[in-house]
Amino acid sequence: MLYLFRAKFRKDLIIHLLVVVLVGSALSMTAGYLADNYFGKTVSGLIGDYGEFDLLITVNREVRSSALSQIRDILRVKLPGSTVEQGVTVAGKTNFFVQLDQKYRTREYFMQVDNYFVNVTGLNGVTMMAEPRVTIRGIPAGLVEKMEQDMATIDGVKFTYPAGSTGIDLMLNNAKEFNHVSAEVDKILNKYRVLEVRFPIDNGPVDAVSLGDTLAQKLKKEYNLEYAENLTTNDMGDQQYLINTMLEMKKFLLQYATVISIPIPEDSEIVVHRDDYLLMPGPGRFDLQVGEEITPMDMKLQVIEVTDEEIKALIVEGNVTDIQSNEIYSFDEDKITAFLGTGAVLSPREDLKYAADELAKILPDLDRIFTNLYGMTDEAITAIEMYSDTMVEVEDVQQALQEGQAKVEEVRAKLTEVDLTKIQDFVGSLLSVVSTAEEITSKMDWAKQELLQIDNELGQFQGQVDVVKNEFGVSETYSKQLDNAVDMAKDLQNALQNNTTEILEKISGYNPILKNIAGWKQDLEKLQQMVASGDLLSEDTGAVTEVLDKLITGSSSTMEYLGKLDDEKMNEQIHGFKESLEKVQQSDVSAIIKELEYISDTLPGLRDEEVTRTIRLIENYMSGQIIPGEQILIMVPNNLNISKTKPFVMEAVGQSTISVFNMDAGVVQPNVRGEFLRIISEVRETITALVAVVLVMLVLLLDLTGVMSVIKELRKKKNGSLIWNLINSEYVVGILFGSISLEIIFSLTNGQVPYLDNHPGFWIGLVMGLIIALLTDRINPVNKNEYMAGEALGFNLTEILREIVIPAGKPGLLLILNRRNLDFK
Amino acid sequence: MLKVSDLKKSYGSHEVLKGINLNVATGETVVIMGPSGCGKSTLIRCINRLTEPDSGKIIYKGIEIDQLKEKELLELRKNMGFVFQNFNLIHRLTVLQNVMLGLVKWGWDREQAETRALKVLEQVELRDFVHARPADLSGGQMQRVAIARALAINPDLMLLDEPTASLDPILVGEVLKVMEELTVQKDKSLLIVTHEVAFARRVANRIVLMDQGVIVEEGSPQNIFENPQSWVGRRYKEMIEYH
Repeated sequence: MLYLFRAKFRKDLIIHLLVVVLVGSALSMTAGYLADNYFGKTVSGLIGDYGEFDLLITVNREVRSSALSQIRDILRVKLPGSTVEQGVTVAGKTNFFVQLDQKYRTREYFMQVDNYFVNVTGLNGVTMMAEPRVTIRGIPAGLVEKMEQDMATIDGVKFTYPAGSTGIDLMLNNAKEFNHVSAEVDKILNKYRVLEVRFPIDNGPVDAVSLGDTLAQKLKKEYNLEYAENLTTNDMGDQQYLINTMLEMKKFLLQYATVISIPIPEDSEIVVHRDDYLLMPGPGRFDLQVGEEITPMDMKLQVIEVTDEEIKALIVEGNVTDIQSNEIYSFDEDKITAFLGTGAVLSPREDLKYAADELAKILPDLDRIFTNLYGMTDEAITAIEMYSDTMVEVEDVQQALQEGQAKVEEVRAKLTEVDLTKIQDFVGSLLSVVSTAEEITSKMDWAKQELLQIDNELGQFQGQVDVVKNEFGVSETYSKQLDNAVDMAKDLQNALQNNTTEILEKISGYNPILKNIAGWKQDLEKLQQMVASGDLLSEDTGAVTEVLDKLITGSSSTMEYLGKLDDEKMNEQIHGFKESLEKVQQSDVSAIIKELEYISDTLPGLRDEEVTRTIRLIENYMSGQIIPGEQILIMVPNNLNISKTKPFVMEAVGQSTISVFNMDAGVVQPNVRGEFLRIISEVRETITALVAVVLVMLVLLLDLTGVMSVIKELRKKKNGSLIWNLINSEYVVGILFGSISLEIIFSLTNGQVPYLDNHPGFWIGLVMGLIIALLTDRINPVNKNEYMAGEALGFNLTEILREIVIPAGKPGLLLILNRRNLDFK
Repeated sequence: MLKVSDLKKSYGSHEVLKGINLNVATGETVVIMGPSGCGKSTLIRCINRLTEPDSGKIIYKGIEIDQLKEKELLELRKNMGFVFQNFNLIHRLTVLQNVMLGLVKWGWDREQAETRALKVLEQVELRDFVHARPADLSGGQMQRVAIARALAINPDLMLLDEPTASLDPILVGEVLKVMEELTVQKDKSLLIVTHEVAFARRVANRIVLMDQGVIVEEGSPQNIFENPQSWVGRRYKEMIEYH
């Protein structure tokens, strides 16, 4: 090594080192810049550049154009000078980055700025992203104000503002203050501890706040504390909400889970425990036999309850729709071990869906039936009116018949004196009336059939409505809507039943009349035939008399039945029925159908195995949780050993079922965005470092190995002492060049290597230089003959290196730099 | 001109030179002969300190070479031509550049250096090869270039270390011819290490026989080869008689 320092070649080496450092730094920085540019652009599109923006506004993609114009308007009117930029759209959400004008970067604005944007169309959220910032979360609500006051005094903090009910954000003067401020915040937080007392969910204090005051005073006195401050508030914590929600969710899911009930015969020897697994035949599986291997198609059940009478189980693999038969088996690993019995499947979820679907199918038909029925009432009214008219005619006929009866009496005595023409006219007109009556009664009979059918369908409808209503008793969301549908359907049912019963009875009354009229008509036709043929006169009087007697008798009975019909009342009832139908038709049947379809579609689309798994997950989570009841929070000094205070606290609050926890007064939350950008920055620094390492290694390999080989030869030639040999060794050259050049490049380019914090360039360069020096002979051996020729010619070391060694060595930076020294290029 | 006294050199425990005493007068051609490994090449390299001797005196023109500092030694080497067994040419340079290199480094004007280089290349009959690279030359031609390079500075003393040892026997003659021509120049002293007995007989003023690091016999070629006193001398005599 000293050879080089003594020779003029040291100048070459220094120039080379400078060039290596400059070129290496430039190339490393370029690589780092390119990496930073590439990653930075990607990241800034997602989260903006560090410190560039203050707010992130996320809106639904479909309305981003109108949202953007609204944001611009808000900024123009309320925050003039501020700007907005549209970021990338991810998962249907578009990001807008807002840069606030400098004058709005104050505590007052930061506390309320998100409120300015609450009415932006399609708003998903407004997030503060101002940097540099230190974020503290998890501070008990009663401590936030005090903490904020303390933290506002930290050097480097520009201003503070509360973030939610349990957080504080500290805006810093510059990013370099981040570590210092974080450390100071930690110091403040570490001064305090929070003693948390949790009461059982069903056994909390009546007034937690005042009990907290009492406990704080007692703690202060008992442990001689500098302070013990009650932080208890009446607010319900987020965890409480979460637990309550999960409890409700479990209850909700249990209502929908399919439960298989297996009755246990009295003499059964089968032993089944809670949580045991059972088996049912799944798709494509029939007639399972004991000893048979189970398949993935079989459905697995898990026992949730065992009583003396029955076993209840939930489906843990498969779905209720997969059930092929209700046979239940026990199994062991992979084989069926016993037949347990036939189970009953109760699946409220499937039943409800079925009922809702069926109802939705019926309702459109009902609308059609209403329309027909409505039309039919018109016909019925017409028929009644016709009936009234006919009654007049029938009375006339009856009168004529009564007159005719007398004449028939006379005919009976003196048949030849009968005016056959008159009788013929009379019988003809009578037949016409009878035909009209027959037609009306036929229509009434059709109406009767229709009404019976409607009544039947309405009965079914009512039954299904009841099923649905019962099933939906568990869900507040659906029951209100369904109640409306049920009420409407019930009104309809009642209205129809009340009216149709009486009408049907009246119509039924027509049946004997119809029969009577039919017989009478037959007799009249016979008489008409006798009159037309002249048989009336030629026949013996016995046959004529018989016909006439039947006519007279029939006339009487017909008149009797007709007389019983109260056409006015019936007319009134049918009109009433028509009005009822009109009212029913005013019901929005389409709306009811939509409601039912909605209910059917929105039933949980979960398979039973998923429902059961979710219930189990909730149970597992809940079993690992202390279900939060009331809580008391006391701020105490850090030096109090909270875990040892439990007995005292139990006594102080007068309850032994409490839990006592030791909590932080808050935590400095990792700045995710800052961390992300820091990682990107580290990637850049690492890439810069790697490029520098590669460059220095290349320089060592290509340039320095030749020089080191010469040093090695010179060292070997001299029989110096160990120290002399060491100082003059090629190792020193490699180590010094590697460590110095890489450390300077790292310093200039801010290159960093993960896990090596203390001068990584120096150490990596040192190791590289040492390794390459050890291998220098193999990498770039010096041509000893040429070297010796130089010596024999009287060349000094510098001349030998410049004219012989370096030109003959590997192509590198030194070769290029050396060209200026060559006499023969 | 050159006086070597009690020169010793060891490589580890192996003593290669065991107190050599040798004188070379101005214009004298001294040929060193002896079996391989006897220390001939080490001796000749120690003279210009290409190999550092362990002890002893080397006085050249009154200068104690062994006491010279590096810079002085380099200056001294400019007046000593050295020809290596393996030619030791610079392969990246042409024939002309190889010869010129020393001159230019020593401060010669480039044109003067070229003129001088061409002259010595003429002398070794390589005028037509001035632009050739060493790799394009035969062994004999390369050695002649090496001799030209040594001659270029017109040294007072030329040290030739087995210049024909690496050559094909067919090519040896052309080198010996050049060397023989050198011996005619009476202003130069030549110290030649060789196995070429005939050449030695022809050109040597004095022959020095070495064996196992010591000079076992020295004298005129006639005395050495006709009336040898040493075992080495007798072997050479037998060789001459055999041929």
